[in-house]
Order: sequence, then structure tokens, then C-alpha cells
Amino acid sequence: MPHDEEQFDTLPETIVDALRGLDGPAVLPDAERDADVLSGARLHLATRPPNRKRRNLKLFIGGSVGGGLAAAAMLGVAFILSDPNADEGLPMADLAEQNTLPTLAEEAPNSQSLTAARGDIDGSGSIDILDAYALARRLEQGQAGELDLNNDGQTNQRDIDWIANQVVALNSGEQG
Amino acid sequence: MPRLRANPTADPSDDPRSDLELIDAVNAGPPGSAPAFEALYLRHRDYAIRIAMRFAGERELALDAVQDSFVYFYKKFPGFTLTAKLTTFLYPVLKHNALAAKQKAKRTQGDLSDEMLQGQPDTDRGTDPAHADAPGDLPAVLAALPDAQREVLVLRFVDGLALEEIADALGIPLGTVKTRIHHAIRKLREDPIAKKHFAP
Repeated sequence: MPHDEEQFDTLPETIVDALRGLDGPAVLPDAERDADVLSGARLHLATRPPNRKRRNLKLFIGGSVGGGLAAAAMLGVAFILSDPNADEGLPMADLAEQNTLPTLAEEAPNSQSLTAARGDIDGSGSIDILDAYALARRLEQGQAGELDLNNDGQTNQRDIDWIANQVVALNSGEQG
Repeated sequence: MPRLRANPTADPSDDPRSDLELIDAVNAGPPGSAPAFEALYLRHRDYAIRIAMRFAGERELALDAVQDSFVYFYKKFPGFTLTAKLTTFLYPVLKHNALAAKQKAKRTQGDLSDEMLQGQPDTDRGTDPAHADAPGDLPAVLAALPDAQREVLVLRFVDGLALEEIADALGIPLGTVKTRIHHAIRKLREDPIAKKHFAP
């Protein structure tokens, strides 16, 4: 059916006002319901692991640190295949228990990020292969800052390898 | 009525981030997820109440529907992906919950009408006492339009949605949206009262 396109964009203002009037008077929000919704949301969001965007990882391969990424990818695949709970990451408690990754709290008591583990680049609360990707992306974008994880005085591909090695070491430890 | 603030010195509804950026922040998890969701909630709450009111007709029912809709929304996280405007996502959720709340209330009251049995809750607007008080006026003419036609008119000219957004919100083809608007306007142009408002 042919349509006059103008009819979809204009309507007499009096008719628009009448349509608006069908909604009735504006309803004020309710503070108690706001509190219910927001407290429920806080609880839900605090107890769910963050969304890990694995689908975007392939975009990083082929960049200036492609070699390191390829190695990290291979390690990541091995890690994921061998860990049935890969999506959950490695809980901070497990890391601390194994004492293989000192937390910032241990290394730098005055740090403002006392809850972050060394190598937890994406702030997920655990260290996994996605942190290697996150660091690789920062390096590509020149935003790695002072993430000198292997203490060689530089932030470069070796720091990506350091994360990957930590993940594999942790994973091997769990299997053993 | 005071607005809820997690931090009284900040106004999350004035968060400069776009909906998409806030959704990314919610997906990213703590510590930024809860404030980002709160910003989304405060930004869209009033819109949600308006849409829910449109279908529920009563304040308490509308607020119930809004609450249920945002619970549904936050349970989508993490992993929620926005493919259209957030209002377009929220619209069918709010509509469904508002209609459900209205039907539940009627059931509770033992007032089972034909409208409820058919799942077409707004068809009584033409006989609603609020509209019946002024027979023959423009609101009554608009209220007498079929629900589907009136709905697209409201979405287009009151809510300001684009035709494609209306199609997304209602889950219908773009051509159907255009046809409904076309038929609605044709009826208005043919109505002895409404046609006076159109330019000759």
C-alpha cells in the first residue's frame, strides 16, 4: 500500500496534545520502590561474575604484539580445555592460598588498589588468560602504563608472557 | 518525594555516559556495575512509569510493572547486549508487565471482563467513564481508535520514536507500522470532529 511519507512525520498539534492527554496525569516515582529495585540490582550484580567478552578476542590477534598473543592464545586454549570452570576464573582466595601471586596489598600496603591481584589487568578479581589479552590491548594502545609485572623495568610483551606463565603454572598446580 | 541516592553528592541520572557505555560498565562487574545500573534506572524510570501507566491505568499497578521490568532488566546482566535504544528494549517489557498487573488486579477484584479474556486491555478506553464524560470530543475519538493504531500514533507523535524503533519495540514489520499509522490518520481525517484539526 503506497503511503504519503509526510503523514508519518506530522500530525496536528491539537491531536498530539489529545493523544498525550490519554496518558493522564504524570505519576511520581516511589522512593521505596526505587530502593527495592536498586538494592536488588546491587545484590544481583555483586554475586555475578563479570561478562567476559571472549568474542572480541580475535580482534587482537595480528597486532603489533601478535607473536605474544598467539602464544597466549595457545596457552589460553590449553587452560580453558583443561579447566571445567574456566568461565569462573580463578578466585582470589585460591590465588592467595597458593601464594604464587602476591597481591598488591602485600607488595604495596599503601596502594589504593589493595584488593587487586598482581596481574589482574581487567579487574575481574581473578587472573586468567583474559588478563594477558587485556594487557596486550593496552600495549597496542600505548596505555599499559607501569604494569611491569616481571620486574624488568619495562612494560612489554614479556609481561604478557609473565601472565600466561602464571596462568599455566596455576592450572598445572590445580591438576597436580 | 526524595529521590534515592547511593551517594548524596552525586546524581547518577546526570551520568555523562551513554546508555551503551553504562551497559558496558554494568557488564564489566563490580565495583562499577551497581552505580552504572543506578544511573540507567534513574535515567529511564520516569519514562518507564509513563509507559506502564499508559497500559495499567492505575498508579500502584504501574509502579508494580516498572519494578518488575527493572528486575527483569538487571537479571539480564552480565551478558546483556543492547541492539537498539534502551527505551525500545524496555517498552515491550513494560507493556507486558503493566497489562499483566492490570489483569491480575481485575482477577483479584472478580471483575472478569471480555477485554481481559481477549488480552486486549485498552479497548475499554472508549467506554471508560473518564472518556464517556465528554462524548464526541477529540480524546474520545482517539480513544475509540483500535488499540494497535492508537499505540503507533502515540509512539510516533508523543514518544517521538522513529518508525524503525516502533517496529523494534512492537516486534512488527516496518510496513505494518506504516499501515497502522496510515489507517489511523485516515480514520481521523474522516471523523467529523477530528478532521477539523487537519489543514484543508
